[in-house]
Amino acid sequence: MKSTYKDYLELARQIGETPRGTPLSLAVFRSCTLEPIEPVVRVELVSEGFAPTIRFFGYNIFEQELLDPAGEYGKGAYDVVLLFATLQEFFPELIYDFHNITPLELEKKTQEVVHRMEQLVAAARRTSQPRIILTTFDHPGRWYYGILDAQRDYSQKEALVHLNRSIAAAASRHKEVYMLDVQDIASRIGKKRFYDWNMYYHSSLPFSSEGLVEIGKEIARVMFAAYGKTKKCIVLDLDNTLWGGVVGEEGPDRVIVGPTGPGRAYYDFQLQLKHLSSKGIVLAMASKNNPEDVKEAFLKRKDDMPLALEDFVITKIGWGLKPQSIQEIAQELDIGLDSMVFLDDSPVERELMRERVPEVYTPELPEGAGEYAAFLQELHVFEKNIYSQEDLKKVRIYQDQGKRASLKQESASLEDFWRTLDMRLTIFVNEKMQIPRLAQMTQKTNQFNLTTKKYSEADITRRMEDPKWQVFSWSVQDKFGDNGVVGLLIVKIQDKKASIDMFLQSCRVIGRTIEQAVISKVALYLQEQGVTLITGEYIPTAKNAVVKDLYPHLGFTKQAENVYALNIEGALPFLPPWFQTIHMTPQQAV
Amino acid sequence: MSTEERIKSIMADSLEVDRTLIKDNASIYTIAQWDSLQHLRLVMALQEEFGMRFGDREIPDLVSFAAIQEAITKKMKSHGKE
Repeated sequence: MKSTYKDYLELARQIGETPRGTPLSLAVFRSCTLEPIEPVVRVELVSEGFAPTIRFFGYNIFEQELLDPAGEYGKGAYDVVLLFATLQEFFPELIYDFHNITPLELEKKTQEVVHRMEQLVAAARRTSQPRIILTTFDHPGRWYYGILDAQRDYSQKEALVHLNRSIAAAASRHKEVYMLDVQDIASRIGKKRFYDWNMYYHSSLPFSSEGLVEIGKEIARVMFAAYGKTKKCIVLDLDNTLWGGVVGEEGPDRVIVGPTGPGRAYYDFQLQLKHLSSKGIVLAMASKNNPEDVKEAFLKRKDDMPLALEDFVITKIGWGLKPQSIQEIAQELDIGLDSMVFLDDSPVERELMRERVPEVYTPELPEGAGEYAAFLQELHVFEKNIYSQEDLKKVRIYQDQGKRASLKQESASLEDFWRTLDMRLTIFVNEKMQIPRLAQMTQKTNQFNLTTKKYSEADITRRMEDPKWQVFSWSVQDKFGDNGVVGLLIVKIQDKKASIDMFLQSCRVIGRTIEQAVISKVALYLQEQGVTLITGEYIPTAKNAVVKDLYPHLGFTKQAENVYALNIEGALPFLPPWFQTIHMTPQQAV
Repeated sequence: MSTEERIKSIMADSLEVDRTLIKDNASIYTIAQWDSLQHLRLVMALQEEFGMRFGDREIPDLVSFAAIQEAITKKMKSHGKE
């Protein structure tokens, strides 16, 4: 996400001269050297689907170029005209002669500059109707009166603020005139880093490479807003995105979010989302959870969260696939998939979304929730609210009715996706090193948990040591990293019969057929030990509906209500072929 | 990447020429694209890559691979001493 000037040079070369996309022409008029910005603007525009042509007009000649009837500018029609003005050329008195200016002269000169800007806008629109970008002015150094500036009757800083405000006011008097806030960019990265004075005295280019990159990105950002390349809907994950932790495991009281303490990062992120929502951006939710847990969390923690459940126009909470959910959301809101943004902390979910629904914009989330709020502000896709009145009405209807669409069953084949994950599964048998983690999982896992028994470390140790018992646990790695130990299966063996005492898995890895691979390998292992039948029971709780039909899915047959059995004398359960490797450790003696 | 390779790769990207054309004798006389504007891109990218800034009177002298390498090596050394 953070690109250097060198990156842009490289990318610009890769793109070449004629990329595909919507043609977009930009004419640049400027009072300083600015040409090196070209690759940055070009790459940014291309990445948003434009095929830009960028033309720089003569150095510090605005009126001559714009008004010359025989000139180059009049011959072409541009979509966007950037009028990039610097204080050094447009208002040098404010920098170099401030001590000699009276307030009256200052005001007069300010109005002159504003007037000139408006004249330039008119000149640029003499023969065509381009969108126009004006810039704010930045004062590149320290104030003339140094630390005393702030205390003066009319300070230099104030004069600059007044000038910029007047230009912005002028811009708003015209249609399709936008502001590029150069002063704001300078303050965001800091003047010392923004400017490069050796370059300036050598070639009238005042900006450092870092400054240029930021200006270039901002120009693109303004253009996206002007061209309505903005999004209408954000679809949000819950656990570790809107709050810290997993609500189904920690419980509503323990998820991390709040106006003070460590939950503030999530609180502020929610606040940013709330602001977007009040600007007309629709919030929706796609979460793998039990709806009751989520409702409870929003109810119990309402003082800790800026967002209420009602702020989400549509919620999809369940165990279905998020690409499916997002398609349903798009349908129900009647908006295009390409106007949606999907935010999820899980790289697997993001990958799946990009794979299945590439139209949805799925950005990388920064490492650490502390960056979330800032990250959201930097996303340029909400820059302009282009949500129509009609759309807003529809949103309200949804909110009024409290409509919560139910989840449809997943349908399409996911095998290709699973294959791309490069999953490597390791199944451990009676692995004592993991005892603390396994005990902890029995305490914390409430969703994917067939029997919901709570075991202490001693309970687990005893079962590992007893030859009648077998304790299987497993860890999964994929191309995004190591998920660690994520599941536990305990069986008791008696008379060639293995009954499942405990079967649980972390909900982080649900939906990836891991349990299928585990049961297949465990069945083989037990078969080799002479076992002929595996039995399992589903004990319903308030939280474990997700595994209600797990046993039939895995090939077990129903014996009685919630009791299932699997005969392993002959064929073994299906072993998914999309795992890259499946290891059993220690290797069993055959 | 060695300093030499880094310089050459930046020269290729900012002057928009093939990497193989950046030989040890590459200069403003051997590379047709190397005009004053490309020069600015080159200097900016070099400053960024090596985390250094060139003086206004050094900038016009950086017009060959040899000159660039010498200037950067010198700066690296003096930075190392400080």
